[in-house]
Amino acid sequence: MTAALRLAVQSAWVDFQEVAVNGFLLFGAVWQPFFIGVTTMYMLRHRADFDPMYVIVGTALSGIFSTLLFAGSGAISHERWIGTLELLVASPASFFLVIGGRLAGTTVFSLLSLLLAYGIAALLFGYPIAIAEPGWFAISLLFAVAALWATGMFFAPLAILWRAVGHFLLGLEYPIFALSGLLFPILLLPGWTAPISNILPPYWAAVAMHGAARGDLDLPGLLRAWFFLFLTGGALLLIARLLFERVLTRARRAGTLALS
Amino acid sequence: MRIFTVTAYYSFRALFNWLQPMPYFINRLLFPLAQLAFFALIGTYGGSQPLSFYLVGNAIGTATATAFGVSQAVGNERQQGTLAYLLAAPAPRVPIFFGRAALHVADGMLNMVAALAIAVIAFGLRVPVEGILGVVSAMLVATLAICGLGLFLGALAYIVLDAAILANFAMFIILLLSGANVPLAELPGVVAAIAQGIPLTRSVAAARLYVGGGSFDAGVGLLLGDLALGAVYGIAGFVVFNWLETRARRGGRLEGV
Repeated sequence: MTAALRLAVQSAWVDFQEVAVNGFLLFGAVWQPFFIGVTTMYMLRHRADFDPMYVIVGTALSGIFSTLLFAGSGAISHERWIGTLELLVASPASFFLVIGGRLAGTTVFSLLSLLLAYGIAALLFGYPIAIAEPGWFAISLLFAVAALWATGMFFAPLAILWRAVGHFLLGLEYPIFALSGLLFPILLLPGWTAPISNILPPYWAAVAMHGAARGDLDLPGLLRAWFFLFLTGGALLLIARLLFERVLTRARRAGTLALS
Repeated sequence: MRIFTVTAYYSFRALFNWLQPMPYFINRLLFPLAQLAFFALIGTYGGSQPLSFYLVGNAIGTATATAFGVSQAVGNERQQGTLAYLLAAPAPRVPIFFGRAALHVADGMLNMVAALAIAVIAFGLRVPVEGILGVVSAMLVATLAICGLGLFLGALAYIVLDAAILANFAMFIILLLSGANVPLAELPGVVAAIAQGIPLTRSVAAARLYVGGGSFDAGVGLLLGDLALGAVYGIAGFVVFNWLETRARRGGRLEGV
C-alpha cells in the first residue's frame, strides 16, 4: 500500500513538472478557459437572473475537464513517442497506478482554471463574487475533481490501442460540455439526450458545483449530486481498471505496444 | 504550376494521416459543428441577440478550423524534419508556400456548407433565396482570409515551434473578437479596434447582412476588406518565411532559427 502510494505520488510529481511546461495542456488549462469564460460572460450577462458564479463554475469545469480528457491518453502517447512505453509496461510497477498518478498531477495543475475563471469575473468584469455555500462548494469541488480524474482514466487506455486517439477525444470535448450543462441548462437540448447527461460525471459535477456556488440547491439535492458523482466516477474508474488490463494484455499478445 | 499543385495535394494529404479518415472527419467536420452548436446554445440561453446572430456568426466562424490545417502544413515541416530538404530544393518559394493553402480553401468551404446546413436543418436558420449568393461569397472570402492567417501562423511557428497552439489562440481570439458571438459594440474601444484587424470580422458582418435580406452590393465592401486583410496576412507570412530562411542560411542553423 505504501509502495503503491509512493509510486502514485512520484508519478504525480513528475507529471506536474512536465505539464507545467507542456504548451498544449497549458492552453487547455489556462487559455481555453480564459477565452471561453470571457466570451460566455459577454453572452450571458444580459440575462435578468445573471449570476457570474454560473460562468465561473462552468468555465472552470470546462478547463479541468478538457485538461483531464487529453492528459491521460496524452501521457501514454508521449511515453510511446519517446520510446519508453514498453519499458514502463514491462516494469513491475502497476501501469494503472503510474498513469493514475500522472493524471493526479495534471488534476492539481488543472485547478488553475478555477482561479482563472474567478479572476476573469472579478478583475476583468469587476463583478463582486461570493460563494453562497463555501463548505459545500469545497466538498463538491473535491468530489467533482475526483470524478473528472476517473473520467480521464477511463479514456486513457484508448491511447494504448489507438495512436490517433487525440482526434477522437477532440470530437468529444464540446458535446460533453453541452451534455453536462456546464454553461447552459441541459433543458435546451432535445429530451432524448437527458439519459446521456445523467451518466456523465461532468454533469453531476456541474449540478453540485453550480448548486453550492449559487446556493440554489438544498442539502438533499447536493447529497444526490454527490452520490451520482461517486457512482458515475466509480463506475468509470472500475471500467478503466478493466480496460487497462484488457488492452495491455492484447497489446502484449500481439506485440504491438509501440505500433498500434 | 506543377509545384503548386503537387505541394497543395501532398501537404493536404499528409496532414490528416489518410490511412485513417477519422481524424479528418473529427477535426474538420465534427469539432467545428459541435463548436457551432455549443456557442449557439449559450447564445440562446443568454438571449441578448436572436438565434440567427449566433448561427451565422459561428457558421462563418467554422472557417477558423482551416487555420489549423494551413498553419500546420507550413509549420510541420520543421517538426517532422523536412524543412532542410524543402529549403535546399531549387523550387521557387511562392508556389511552395502558397500551395499549402490551396486545397484548404475548397475544404474550408465544405466545412462551412456543412455548418450552414446544420444551422438550417437543426436550428431552423432561414436564408432568403436572394441572399444565398452573398452568403456563399462571405463563406469563400472568410476561408481565403483565414488561409492567409494560417500561412502567417505557419511561418511564425518556425520561431515559436507549435503551429497548433498558435492556431488555437487564433481560433478563440476570432470567436471572441470577430463579432461571431459578441456584438462589436459591446467590446471595449481598444479591443473593438483590434477586432478590425482580424480576419472574419467583416465576413461575419456581411453574412448577417445577406441573411437579413440585404442586397449583394451592400456587403461587397466588407468582403473586399476581409479579402485584402487575408492577403496582407498571407504576404506577411511569406515575408517571415523568407526572412527566416535567409537568416537560417546565414547562421547555418536551419532547424534552430
